[in-house]
Amino acid sequence: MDDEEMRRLLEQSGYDADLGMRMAEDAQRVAAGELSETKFYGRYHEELLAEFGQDDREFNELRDDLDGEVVTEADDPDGLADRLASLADTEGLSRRELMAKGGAAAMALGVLAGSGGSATSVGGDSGGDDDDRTRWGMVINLNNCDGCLACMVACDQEHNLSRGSNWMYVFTYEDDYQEDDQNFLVRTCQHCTDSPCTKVCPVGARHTRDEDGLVLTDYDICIGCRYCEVSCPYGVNYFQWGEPDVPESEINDEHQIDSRGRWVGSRPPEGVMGKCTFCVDRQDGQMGEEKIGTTACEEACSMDAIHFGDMNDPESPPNQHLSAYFDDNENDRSEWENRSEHTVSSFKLLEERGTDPNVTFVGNEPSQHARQVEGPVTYESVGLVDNRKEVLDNGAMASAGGDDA
Amino acid sequence: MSVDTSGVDRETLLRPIHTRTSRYTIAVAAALVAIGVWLFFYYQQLEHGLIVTNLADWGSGGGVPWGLYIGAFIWWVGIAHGGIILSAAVRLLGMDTYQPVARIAELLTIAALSCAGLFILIHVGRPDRLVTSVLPAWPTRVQWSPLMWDVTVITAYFVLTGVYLLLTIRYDLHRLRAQLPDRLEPVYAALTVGYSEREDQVIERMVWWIAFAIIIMAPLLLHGGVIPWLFALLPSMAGWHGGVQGPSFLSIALTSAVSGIIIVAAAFRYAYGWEELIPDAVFRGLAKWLGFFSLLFVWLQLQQVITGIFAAPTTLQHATEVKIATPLYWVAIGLVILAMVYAFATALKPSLFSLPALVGLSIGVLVGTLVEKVLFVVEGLMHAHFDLYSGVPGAYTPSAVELSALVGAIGIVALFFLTVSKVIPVVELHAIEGDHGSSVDATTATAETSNTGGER
Amino acid sequence: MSTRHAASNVAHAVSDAVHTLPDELHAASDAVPTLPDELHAASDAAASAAGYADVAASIANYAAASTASYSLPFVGPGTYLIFGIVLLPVYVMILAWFLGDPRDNSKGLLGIGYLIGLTTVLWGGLLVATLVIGAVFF
Repeated sequence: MDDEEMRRLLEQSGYDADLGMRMAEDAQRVAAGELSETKFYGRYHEELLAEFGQDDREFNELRDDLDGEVVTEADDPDGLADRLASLADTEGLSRRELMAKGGAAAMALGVLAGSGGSATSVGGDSGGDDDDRTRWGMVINLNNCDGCLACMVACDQEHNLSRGSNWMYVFTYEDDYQEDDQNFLVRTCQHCTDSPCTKVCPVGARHTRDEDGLVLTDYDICIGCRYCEVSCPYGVNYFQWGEPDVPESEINDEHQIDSRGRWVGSRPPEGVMGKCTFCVDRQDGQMGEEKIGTTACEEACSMDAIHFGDMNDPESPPNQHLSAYFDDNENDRSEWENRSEHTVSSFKLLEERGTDPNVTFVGNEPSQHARQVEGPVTYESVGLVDNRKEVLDNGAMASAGGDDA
Repeated sequence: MSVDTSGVDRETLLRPIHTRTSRYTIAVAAALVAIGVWLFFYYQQLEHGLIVTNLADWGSGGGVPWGLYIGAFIWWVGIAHGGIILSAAVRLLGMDTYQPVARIAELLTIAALSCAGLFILIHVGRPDRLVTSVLPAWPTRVQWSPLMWDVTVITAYFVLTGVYLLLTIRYDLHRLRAQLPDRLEPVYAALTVGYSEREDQVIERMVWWIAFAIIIMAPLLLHGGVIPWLFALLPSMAGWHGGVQGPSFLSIALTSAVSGIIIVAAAFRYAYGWEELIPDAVFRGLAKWLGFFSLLFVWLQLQQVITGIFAAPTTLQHATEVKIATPLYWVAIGLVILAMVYAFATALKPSLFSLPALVGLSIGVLVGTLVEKVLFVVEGLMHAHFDLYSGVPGAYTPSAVELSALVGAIGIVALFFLTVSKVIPVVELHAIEGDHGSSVDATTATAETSNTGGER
Repeated sequence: MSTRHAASNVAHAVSDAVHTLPDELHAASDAVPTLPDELHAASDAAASAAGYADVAASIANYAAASTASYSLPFVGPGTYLIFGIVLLPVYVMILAWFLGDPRDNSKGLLGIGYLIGLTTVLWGGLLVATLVIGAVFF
């Protein structure tokens, strides 16, 4: 393919072919190390904007981010460029490779921007899109999970859950599209940044906590309409259909009342909705300073699968785990240098539903043909109930019987 | 087709108020028993929580968090649409044929909406917070929660229908005052406060505008709007999503609304020998509407099925395949088709018409629409996009507690009509005055001295 | 919001435009495995241009997401839907009561009184019922 052909293609695109040609030439120079990428960026940033007919002023925010960081390398920890840079670092990509692999990088950026950078996105009612804020989230490495269910047990005990109310739930599944017979999916609440449950709640009981993005239920306000449960694509909500297994008298206020004085922690009382809280009592320091930034499930996991922390902090355990794991799984690029840097697959669950989850998974995403199977450790063997319907049906019968008696 | 009931005397109109039969007492007792059965079960629900229902969590447990209660809620709101259709037909479009049943329809709206509200009350886990949590949150949550939109629009519909009734009743009560029971005098005084005959035209104009407001709001924005949006806006359940739900819900509402009016109007005609007050022509007309709305219903079901199975996204395809593989779904559709066929057949060959048959088929339609609504809610929840849970789809059969609510609600509607018909005339005075634009060339028998002694 | 949307749109346009390039170049380079270095470089160059466009698109998306409208206090779909569309017929009705002929303002006020009164009775009655339920069962 020669220049003529390239020009023809550019012209077909309907945009400025000269600009495209010059960019391509300069990009070659960048590749050859003759031109710094900073300069490359600076040179074309404006022109691209001009070409596509935008008033620069409309781009102020965008430009400020880019210029401020890429061009001047200003040390703004929350900036996009830094995130780009940290992306390059975490993924073991050099800046150059980041450029050369623009497509892949952008995709990866999407992943990071969604989780790490997800401060960028909005909190439910919070109105906060401030990167300085903590945004609790998880990186769950499914490759490390062995399906021991210790996390489920720990969660169940810490939050005094009623039988079958599995705030943490570990799937074992078979998938024609994956090599292993047993694959795992560890499902907590995804604490979505754009959570459907928060949107649909008629009374504002289900809400996103401003300061750290936790999606919580105010047990004092909830009317128990279960609209949140219906709207959640993940099925993480567990209504308290009857009397909770653990009475309130056995639960300290420290577990239940958060730093704002709202009753959002531990198991829900009868008639309201509950779900994983990312151990809000721990995050508020009510379980001791040392428990901040930890969860019961993470603590219980001996396989190093669950990593909880502030997704906005590049140094947080989940982000560190991600970058370390990427580093450990470097691709052999000796023969094909255009291969990706690492061989790690990562995903967010049902990301296409637009929920912007704060849990990132490392490992393979279950395909549409995946089906849940019995795991290496059964739920019953660790004292858990898989299908809560059985408990509820029994409860219904017991109650009816009790009244007759 | 026009109906002239102008020859019917006032005594006939007031027969429900003036008579007192043992059948009436039995009917009241039956309604109270139905309500009592429900209260017995509802007491258990309040005592033990919603665990006494067969509802459960979807997800790792294979249940449905919404079931018969929500299905019945939608169903009652659908029936409530009858009121405005009939009133609007009379008042806005001049279709005086239906004047004799207009008020019955409006009363049905009030009763059915009350039952809809009742189902919300018994659906929620904390009914005690229904006001204390909802009202304070309204100013901020109405902007986001489809459930809050519902609360808003249903309140508006209820209030507008109520005002409509309160304003139109003034004319009748003032003129019939002398024939109304004295012991209810304070009620009538309150209902006709400030009445003067000069106001008739003003009130007539005001209620025209109320009818106008409701006819836009109720069908298009309530049952064709906020109620389907409760489901259609959610991305999580494949069977619920999409723009067809609005029209589809509306068609179901209209079908069940006409059925509801047919049943209640036929009951009054039977109980009070109102053959001339509510002549066959009214029911023949209603039957045509029933046929037409049923056709729309079936047509919109076809739309959903065909777009769901041809080359739909896998989850929608699955949900649709399950739906059409459910025998109960075809029972529902069959009941509606049966009514449709009968309605059109009687239109072509009037001799086929029989009121008992029409009432029977209307009951069938109500059963069918209720089944369809419950299936919509339940099956929608059983076939979520995320279908890794082995427990999902589980099974759901309404418990006795849930079913009893249905019985209780029907009892409440019956009791409502039995009570209200003792206080106010359930047929507008206009219907027998013949001054409301009805044509006089009617061929219907309008004998003034009729053989209607059955009730006396 | 419009600014962000514009930003997002233009970035997408860049992305789309430049994307047509590398695909074809890559196809060409796949077809001719022994491509001279120069052409590889050209391909890389195009890819990097596309890469920037992609990054720009991501950034713009991010910017657009950062003002999710539902974070603002009084702006949500319900604001327009309920107050702008659904209740419109009610506004028209009330206006017509007081503006058209024949009219009687006292009857108009009676109508308003009924509207307010019925709403109050409805919710007041419900409040009483729920308070009773609350007192007895919760």
